[in-house]
This record gives sequence, structure tokens and C-alpha cells, in this order.
Amino acid sequence: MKARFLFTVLSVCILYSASAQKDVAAYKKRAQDIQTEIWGKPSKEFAVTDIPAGMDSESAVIIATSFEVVNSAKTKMKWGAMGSVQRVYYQTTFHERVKINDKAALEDYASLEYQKKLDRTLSAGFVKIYNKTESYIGARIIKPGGKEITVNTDEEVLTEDKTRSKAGKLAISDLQVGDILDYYIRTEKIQEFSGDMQGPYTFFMGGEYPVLYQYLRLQLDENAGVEYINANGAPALKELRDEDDNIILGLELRNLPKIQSSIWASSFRQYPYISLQYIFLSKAADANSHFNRGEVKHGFLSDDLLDQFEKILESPGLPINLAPYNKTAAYFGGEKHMKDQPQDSVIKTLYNAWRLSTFCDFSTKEISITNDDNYVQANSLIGAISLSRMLRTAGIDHELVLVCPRTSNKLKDVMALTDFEALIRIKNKKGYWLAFNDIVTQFNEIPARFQGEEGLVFRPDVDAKKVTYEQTGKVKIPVAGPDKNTETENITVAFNPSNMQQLQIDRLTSLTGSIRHFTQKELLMMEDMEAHLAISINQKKLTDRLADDKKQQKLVTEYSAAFAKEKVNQKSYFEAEIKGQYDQQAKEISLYEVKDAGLFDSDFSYRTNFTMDNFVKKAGNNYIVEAGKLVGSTSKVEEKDRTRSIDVYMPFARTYTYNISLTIPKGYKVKGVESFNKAINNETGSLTSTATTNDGVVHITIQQQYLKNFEPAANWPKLLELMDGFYEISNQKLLFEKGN
Amino acid sequence: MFFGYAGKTWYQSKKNRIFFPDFFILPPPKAVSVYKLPVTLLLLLAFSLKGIAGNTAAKDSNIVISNCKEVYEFVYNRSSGSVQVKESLATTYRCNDFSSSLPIAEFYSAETMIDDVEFSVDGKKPKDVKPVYSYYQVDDYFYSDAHICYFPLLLDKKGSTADVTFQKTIQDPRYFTNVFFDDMYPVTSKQVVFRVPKWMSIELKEMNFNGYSITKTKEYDSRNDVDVYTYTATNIPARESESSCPGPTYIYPHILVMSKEANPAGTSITFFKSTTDQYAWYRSILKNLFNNEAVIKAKADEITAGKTTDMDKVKAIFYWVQTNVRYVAFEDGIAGFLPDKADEVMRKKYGDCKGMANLTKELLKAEGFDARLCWLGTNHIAYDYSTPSLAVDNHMICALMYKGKTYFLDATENYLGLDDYAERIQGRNILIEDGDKYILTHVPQETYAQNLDSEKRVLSINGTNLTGTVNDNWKGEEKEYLLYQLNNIKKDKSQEAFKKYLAAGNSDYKITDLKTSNLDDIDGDLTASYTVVHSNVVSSFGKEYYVDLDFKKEFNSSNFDTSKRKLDYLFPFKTHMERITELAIPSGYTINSVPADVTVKNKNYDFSIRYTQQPGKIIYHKSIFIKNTRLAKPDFRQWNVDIAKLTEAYNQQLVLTAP
Repeated sequence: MKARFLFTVLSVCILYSASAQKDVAAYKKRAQDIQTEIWGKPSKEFAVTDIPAGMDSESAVIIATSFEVVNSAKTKMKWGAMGSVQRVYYQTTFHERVKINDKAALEDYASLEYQKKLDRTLSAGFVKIYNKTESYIGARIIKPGGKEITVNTDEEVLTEDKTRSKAGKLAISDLQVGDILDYYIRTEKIQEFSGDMQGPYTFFMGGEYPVLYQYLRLQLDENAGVEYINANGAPALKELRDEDDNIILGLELRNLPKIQSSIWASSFRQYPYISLQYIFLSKAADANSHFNRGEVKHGFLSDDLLDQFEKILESPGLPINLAPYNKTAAYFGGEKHMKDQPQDSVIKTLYNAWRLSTFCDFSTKEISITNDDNYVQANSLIGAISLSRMLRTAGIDHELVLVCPRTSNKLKDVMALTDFEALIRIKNKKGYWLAFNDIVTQFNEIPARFQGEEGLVFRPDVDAKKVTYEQTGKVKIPVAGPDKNTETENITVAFNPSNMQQLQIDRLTSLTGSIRHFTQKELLMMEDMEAHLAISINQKKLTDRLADDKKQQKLVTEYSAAFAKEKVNQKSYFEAEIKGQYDQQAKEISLYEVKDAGLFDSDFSYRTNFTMDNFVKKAGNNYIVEAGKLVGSTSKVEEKDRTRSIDVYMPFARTYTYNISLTIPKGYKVKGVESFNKAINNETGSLTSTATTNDGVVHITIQQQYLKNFEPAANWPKLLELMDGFYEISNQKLLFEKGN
Repeated sequence: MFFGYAGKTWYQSKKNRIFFPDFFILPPPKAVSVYKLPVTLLLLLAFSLKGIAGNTAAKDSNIVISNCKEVYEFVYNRSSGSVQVKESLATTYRCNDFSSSLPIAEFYSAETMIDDVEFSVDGKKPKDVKPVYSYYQVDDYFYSDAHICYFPLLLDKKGSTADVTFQKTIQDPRYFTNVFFDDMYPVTSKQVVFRVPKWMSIELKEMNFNGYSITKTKEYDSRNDVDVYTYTATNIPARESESSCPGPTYIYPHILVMSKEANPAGTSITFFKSTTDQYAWYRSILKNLFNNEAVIKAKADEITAGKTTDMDKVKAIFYWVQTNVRYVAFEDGIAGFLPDKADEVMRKKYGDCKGMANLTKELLKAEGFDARLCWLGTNHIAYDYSTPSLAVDNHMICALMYKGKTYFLDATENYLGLDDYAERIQGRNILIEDGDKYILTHVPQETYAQNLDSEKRVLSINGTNLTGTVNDNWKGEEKEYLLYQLNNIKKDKSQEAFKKYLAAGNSDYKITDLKTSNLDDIDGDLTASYTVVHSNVVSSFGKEYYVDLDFKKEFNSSNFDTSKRKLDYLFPFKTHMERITELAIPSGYTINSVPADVTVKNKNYDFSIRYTQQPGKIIYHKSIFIKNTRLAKPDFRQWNVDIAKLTEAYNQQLVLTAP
């Protein structure tokens, strides 16, 4: 028995080992076939060894790059003749030939990392649903003299080596500056039973290095549904059918310059790119998909996609967290009473209840309170859909608006629902906007990234029993003017009487609109924000609520301890804020306080009192104060950024105001006040600076304003005028001269 | 701390929301010359991983180790005929204040296996927790055989406890190098037990026990014929996470375990009774190293073609390896001690410190030079070869014996010339192969004079600008730092980056006509010369001109917060900085006020600022020498006092009066 058992075990081991070896052999054979396929007959572009004169100064030059996709479907009989199943084959090949001109590029290209194998095949009884992906790499080096060396891929190391999952990395042997590297990665996937969407694949026309030749080719099964957009001037793909009726899409481009980064740019708005996605569709799946079986949809936001979104909005089974609704009802003494209240009050309370539920939902199992929590970003689609349902339940007329942020693709270039974000618009007398953004976004505040964009409107019928939405057109999202996004600093400065080279600074900072968010999240304690939000809807703050619940009372001490631990860090956040503002640490900070958290319809304001070194230079018996630096550290726009051909996506229109009062020490006169007088006015904004002396105090008032959140490239010199002017003021100094 | 030449990371001008990348990154971690991951480093990795998971743990007393018992037992494995070390690591964690997730991580490798792991929370095994075993990417290693077992445990209320026990086996006592008492969490009580059979000879060296409550007992277990050493530590604070601090073996309490020999069951196994044994073991590994001498010779001849003097040949070979072989660290089992074949390193054009040392040696040998492999520990390690152990060394370089002098060639240092030595190996104990014997000596200890960062500016006043010419000169590690950065930036950005560096990021400092020495030249000094217009640096009020002659202000306000910093500070290398600015005084102008000179001098550093008046000009001369790269914590106060003097001097201006 024992021998038989051992024999069985041994047999299984041998079989397993033999099977594993067979897999390895099959993999190697396939790898060899692919190598022959790709390198056997390269196109002339992939045979180039000389690069144009003048490109030797580039870090690297992409001689040729190609991305090819092949997709086809086969029928397979399942075990036991239970029916036929589509087996879909996906193949992608990325092939690149690059000239390495310096060490930076050598480091970039010196190694490859890849998922070698991923087997997600599901087995249940006699049924197996196949889902397997394997990747193959190849690399060869062409030396300056023309010698070609094929890299031995067996030198790879496996960073993951499991039966169903292998990942590897390969250091490219013998690669040196001056070589050409020609490499590819081929991925082959076979999947049964269901087709997943492939992509989106996004191709920018250009990249980090200049590209001499770019090639794109997709050969897709006749039953695939394809969607693609070509944005910002990118060319369209050439489309045709082969003799098997497969869909062929292709593109060839030459001599693409590298993309240089610019300040205040939006890549998906300004650089040409193509984005493509496809899916193998059965007849049954076709009806419920925004793809169309056998069709290439190109260049527009698909109506089918919007219809799909409408279906989601109307879905009866949508999981909505009704906690904000219930809290709002409780606030008004019950749902019945709530419906009798002025709509504005209900909407405001509901919105704040949503904020509390979304951003202050603390785990009772694992307590973690850190500043990181302040940066949580809500999913605006989910937020808007949830709140729309609640508004509908409350009988409040509203619209749900889909919008693409300015930092992302344009509305017409939407490929998937996840390209959208969403807002709610209340179209009553006053008109409100509700955004689902971060914890500090106020009621009726529109995030800067949406302002000026066109949105698509979906309007629910709030009176109907069944949930229905209707697409009712478009709306332009308002843009906040510079008076809505402001930074105002009142800075009172005095010399330290015991050390004239140290300034004592009392700074009261007030921020509004989009300027608020960064610093609010930097400085506010989650404990305080939670308390403010809770109180706004008549709820007790967290620790008080927990104390009221017998089952959760023990958590009071835990949360109190966690909040106290985080509170200790607050001083360091203020220190970091000062350092960020002035590019140097305060010598000592003696006061830091939040005056107004700015969570509801008010400014965010805070006060800091600190001493600073290095602002005062001694010159004989006199002192020079770099008073201009009291506005914070600034830099001049670099030479390479001073000419511009692409439009300017400013973050938002805004106003900066600095009111500086600098006490003149007894026995000293001040000189240089007039150097702070300046005025610039152009169509992009203004800069005014005035300085006076009165009652022993120098008063400097500086205001800079950018009028819009978008400027055409032609206006760049005007923006530069404002920025240069501000920089100039920041460099001005005052002399405090000792009297006789 | 902010060093003028170290640059800043991305910073944001709030006003313009302009993000300026700094072209000069901080010096990359020097090619990590750890050629093998001893157990020590695996433990240190455990700290760093946990640090990533809970990066405030070092200052956080919410989670503590209330009790820990580590038992290390030497056993004889009859079937393999080897001595192994069985580890049992039992730790109890407690959450003091509020519920928290506890990340558990334990490293293992080819030499140190995890046999078993058990865990429970509040006495129960959590059902949904499964340890994950996976590859671990070690910083600076392309690939290593380090693996990690990790899983999170939820301590879901104040007072919750978790018990975790790992059973491990170290395959060879040589890899059992040290045991630390501290952890990333505060340790209330920890017991470390060594069960040493009578047939096993070890030495337990106590390190850094001063200031900690650690007691020791020794008992004899007659039943098993085993000596039992028990160390009990109480109230050990959590390990600090501070930048630029000495390696842990300098600071934290631990035991250095030195296995000497074993005589189990009538056999005899020698570990490291002395440095001789350690060397013999290294040599036994090298016996498996077969270099293709013909291939090496051909390459060596090619590299040295046209070189007529011996030193030129040596330099040609040394610099060729530096320039043409990339540092890529591989660690895999015993291969962690065996250098890659020289011809393989040459073929691949990459290697780690062992491979590069071997290639350097073989190329030199091929040209008839007496070149040898050497082992050493960098300054990250507190030990030397007086305590033979694998923990002593983490690097391999090449030694050249030439005309009575020994040169040490470390090809992992890019752009460092022959006979210049990196700070991390200066003065270090080094073991040089000498056939069956070895030579034990030290790498030369250099002074700050090896390095130089000097700048001479000749300027004149033009309105509110200073204009003129500048000449810069760098040597030693200063040169190495710069050349590394310049050669690793995209070449089309390199000159722009260099200008930004020379201007210290100051956009008013406009550089034109920049000329440099050959940026690929490792041997000579690096030099640069340029013309400058520096705007907004002269303030004029009426007839008076106020001039700031120092626009770099290195070490300005670079104080230590003595209330926060706990550990000594390590400078990356010794500093030898000279700044001379010669300012022409416009005709008819008088010098109204000259700032006072500053002189600071002590064993660690010198600061000096002097103004010298000569006919028609005034000369500003600043010298900063960091002579000792390790600034001990007791010296922080004095440092702050001296920095205050420097800062005060920086904030003084020259005053000229117009006619």
C-alpha cells in the first residue's frame, strides 16, 4: 500500500514536472517564433541606424515605435457538449527602436520589467473557463559599427514565480551610450466566455524624446465594437476591411518633436492624442453596450454612452447611502416637516449632511486620524447621483450636470463614463451649484477645474413615481471672477528690539474660493472640521455622539486619544506653511491659530506670529530690510518659458492683496519707500503697489489680480508683465538709516 | 538642515502656482556595496518596511511591544552535517490608546528560512488573515533573494494585544551576525536567549549597552549540556528615524554574535575563530571563480593602447570600468559572496561592487600589475576585522600594489580619480587577499584637502547689478558629486542645469559664455568659467550703495533643533569650500562700512569670512571646512552658536558712498 502510494505520488510529481517542462518548452518555442516574426522582416523604418544630424544633442531619439493589436474570436465546444463558447484571442505588440545618446537615457532603457504570465482560468468541475495571458520580450543592441547583439532573455530574474503568475525583469547586457536598442514586448491573451473591454489605449503624438517614425495598427475581429477619438488635431486613423471582414485601423506618422512641458498647460486639451478602446461583442451583449458590434465609432461622445448613464441614473437597484437624507429629516423634526421647510434650507442642510457622511465616516474598528484624511477626494459621479436621488425624494427640482474637468479631456472626447465628473444645479430663484469634491468645498462653490466648461444636463422628474431622467441639453458652468478667489494678508512687522536683524511678524491671512483649499487642508484638524459639520446639522460632535451610545462609549477615550495625538502635529503644519510661504523656516513661532475654518460661506482665516532671520541686513549702522519678500518667496519665469505658443490654462482668476505695516524703530529714518510704487494694467490683470510712511510706520499695499482662468497664447507677454512686475516688487528693499 | 549645494526638491510659488523642478537631485545613495544581505540588514529592512506602513511609529506610543522573547539555539543537523541556528521569535504587541492596524513583516532569504508563523489577537486567531510570502524589492538592488512574509493584524480596541511567533532556521551560523534589542515600537520588556551547546564555541559581544537597562545571566542546562545566556532589556525606546544619521550598529543596543567553531558528534567545523578563518572562507568561495583571461587580456590591451606610463595604464583601466560598467546589484544565495566573472561583467557592462572589483583586478593583472581583491566595511558599519564576522564588511574593491604603495580602486565611485577616496571608505579596516594569507590594513584617511569647491569672482558694479567673470574649480568628492549629476541629466538639459546650479537657483544670476573642462574627465579637476550679470544685488539709496557679496550663503541658518534631533549627524563628505569675490570699487567711491570678519575654528569645522581692502578693490574671502563628517550630538549646541555667527555675517552688507 505504501509502495503504491509512493508510486502514485511519484507519478504525480513526474507528471507535474513533465507538464511544467512541457510548458517551458512551449513558451520558449513561442518566444522564438515571435522573435522571428518581429525581427525577421522589419520595415525599413525599423532598420534605420543613422539619425539626422543635429539630433545627437538629444538624450535619446526614438527611431521607430509601433503598437500593433490583433484580435480574433474562435468557437470552442465545451466539455460535455454543453454548448459552444467563444474563445477570444488578443495580441498586442509594442516594438521600439531607440538611439541612446547619454547616461540618462541609458538608465531609462537599461532594464525591462514585465508580467510574464497571468493565468486567471477558472475551473469548476468539468468546466474550465480559460483566461490566460503570456508575455514575451526580445531585445537586441546595434553597436555604432553595425554589429548586432541579441540579448539573452534567459538572464531575466523572476520577481514573482508562482504557477499561475510570473513577473520578471531583465537588465539589458552590454547596452552603452551610442548604441541602438531594439526591443519588443508581445502580450498574448486567450479568454473564454466573456469579453472585457480592451483599453483605452492612449497615444500622444510625441513624448519625452523626438520620434522619427510612429506606427499604429489594429486588426480587430469583425464582431468587435470600436470607439476612438482623435483629439487636439491628432490625425484620424485610416479604416478599412480585409478579405475576412476584419476591421483594420492604422496610422503612420513621422518626425514628431518631443513634447516640452509648459507651466499652466493641460495635456489632454493641448497636445494631440488618439484614444481607442474596443470590445468583442456577442449579439446578446450588443444591445446593452454603448459599443456597436462590427462598427467603428469615431470622434464624438457617444449617445449610447449617455443613454447608458441615463439607465444607471434610473436603475431601481442603485445602492444609495440615505444617511444624509435621514440626518436632514431629523434636523427638521421628521420627513414630513422637512417637506414644509424653505427649499434653500433643506438643500443646504442636506449638502452639509452629505459632507459629514462622506468625509467624516470614521471606522470604529481601526482608528487612524492623520492630516492625510483631509485630502480625501469624493467621487463626484457617485456623490451627484446619490444627492440627486435624495433631492428627488425630497421633491426638490434640480439638474444633474456631467462635466469634464479642464485638466482632463474635452467633452467631445469622452470615451467612458469615468471621464466625467458631476455637479448638481438647483434652478430656483437664487440658483445653486452643489459640488462633490473635498471636505472644504462649500455649499454653492464650484471647483475651479469645472468652471467655464460645458456640461450635459440630466433632469429628473421629481413628481413621477418611477425614477426617470431626461437629457435636456447643455449648460455653461459659471466662472468665478478674481474677487471670489482671494488671498489677503495683513502683515504687521517690527524689529526685534534685542536683535535688530530679526523681524517679529504678525500675520493674519484670509483666503477665499479656490485659493482656500490647499491651505485649509494643510492646517485644519479633522476633529474640528467634523465638529463644525456635525453642529451645522444640529448633531453632536463625534466623541459626544459616541458617549451617548452605550455600546460605543468605550470609543470615546480612543478617539480622544487619536485626536489629541494628531493635534500635537498642528504646530508643525503651521511651521511648514510658513516655510512654504517664505522658503525658510521661522526662527520661532509663538502663535498659530485658526480664526475661521471657512467651511461654510465664510473666509478661511488664520493667524501666525513668528520671528524671522535673514530678512534684515546690517550695513554699517543702518539696516536694509528685504521688505518685498514679506509677500512670500517668488521666482522669475525662466528664459525657456518666456515664449509660448500654447494657450494658458490658469488655475483660476484670483486676487492677492498684501497690507504690510512695518514699524520704523526709534532713531531711524526710512528710505526707499518710493521703490514700492508700481502700477500695471492690461487685459489679463493688474498689479498695483503703493507705499507710504505715516506715524512711524511704513505701509505697503500690494495687489495683484489675474482676471481670467484662461488666456490665449497671444496674451502670454501680458501675463509675463504682471509676473515680472510682482517679482520686481518682491525684490525691493527699505533702508533704515540711523539718525544722528 | 539645508545645504546650499544640495538643492531643493519641487517647490511651489503659491503666487504663480509655478512648480519648479530642481535639476539637481540629492546625491544618489552611493552604490550600495552590500554584497550580501546578512540577517542584520534583513532586520533593518523590517524596520524600514514597517516604517513605510506606519511612518510615525517611531514617535508613536500607541503600539508598544509589551513583551518579546527571542530564543536562538545552535543545533546540529546530522543529515546535512551542518550546524544551524533555530530561532523562535515571540512578540506581544499591545495597543495603548486606540485601535490600530499592526503591520507584521518578517524577512527571509536563501540562508534564513521561515519554518512557521503563528499569530492571534486577544487570544483568538483572526480568520481572515493569511500571511503573504513574496519577493521584496530592496532599494538599490536590481534583484536580491530577499523575501518577505507579511500580514496585518487589527488591534481593534484600546488594550488589545497581538501575539506573533515566527520560527526560523538560519542555515549557517556565519549568517547569524547580530541581535538588536530595539524595534520600531517602544519595547517594554525583551528577553534574548542564546542556547549554546557545549560543542559550540561563540562569543557574544555587547554593543552600545550604555544608557540602557539590560541585564545578563548565564545558566547551565545540564540535561541538554547547553549554556543558556539570557539578556533582559526593559524600557527600550523606539528606534528613531532621522536623516543623515550613523548606521544602527553605532547607536542601538545589540549583541554581535561571533560563531567560532563547533565540534558536534565527533566532527569539527571551523567558522570564524579569527580573521584568518574569515579570509579562508572568502577564499574558498573565490576558488569557484574562473575568469576568461584571454578575453580580459584582449580588452586590457585595447584600453591601454597608446599609454606609455604605468600610471596612465592604471588610470585608463580604472576609469574605463567606472565609465563603462553600470552598477547593478544582484544578490542570490551564496552568489552574494562570489564575484561575477570578470569577462561576464565586461560582457554585460553591469555589475555590483564584487563584479566591478573583480573586473578591475583582472584587467590590471592582465597588464602585469599586482592587483588584488579586498573586503571592507563602509562607514555605515561600526565593526572592523578585530571581530571576525560577516557583519563586518559590506563592500569589495580592488587594491593595486605598486612600487611600495597600495592604491585602492573603487570602481563603484563614478568620477572619483585614482588615489582619491570616498568618505565612506576612508580610514576603514580593509582585508586584502595575499594568496593563502591576507593583509589587514586601512584605507588612507584623507583630510578635507582632498575635496575642493572653489569659486573666484571678479566683479564690478553696474547700477544695481554686479557684472564680471567667475572661475570655479572642483576636486575630489565635490567633483564626483557634480559630474555624476551632470552626466545623469539629459544632455540637452545639462548645460541649463549646470547654470542653475552655479546660480544656486537664483533667477537674477544670469550666466553666459559658460565654458567647462571635459565633463567626462575623471582624472583632472572639474573647472568652469563664465560671465555673469547679477541683478538686484546692489541697493542704492541716495549716494550710498549697499552690496551683498555672497549670494550662495552656504549653511545659512542651518541649525539643529536640539529639542528634536536625537542622533549624531553625518555629512556626506568632508567639505573644503573657498569663495573669493573681488569687487572693483568705482572710481571716486569710498568704502563706508565693511562687515566684520568671522573666524570659527574647532576640531570639527572651520568657518572664516574676511574682507581685505586693496587699492581700488575689496576682496571677500570665505572658507568653510567640514573636517570631521560626524557631528556628535553634544556638539550641536556649539554648532548652532557658530552657525549663528555665520548667519549674522551673511546678513551684513558692504557700504560704498558715491562721490
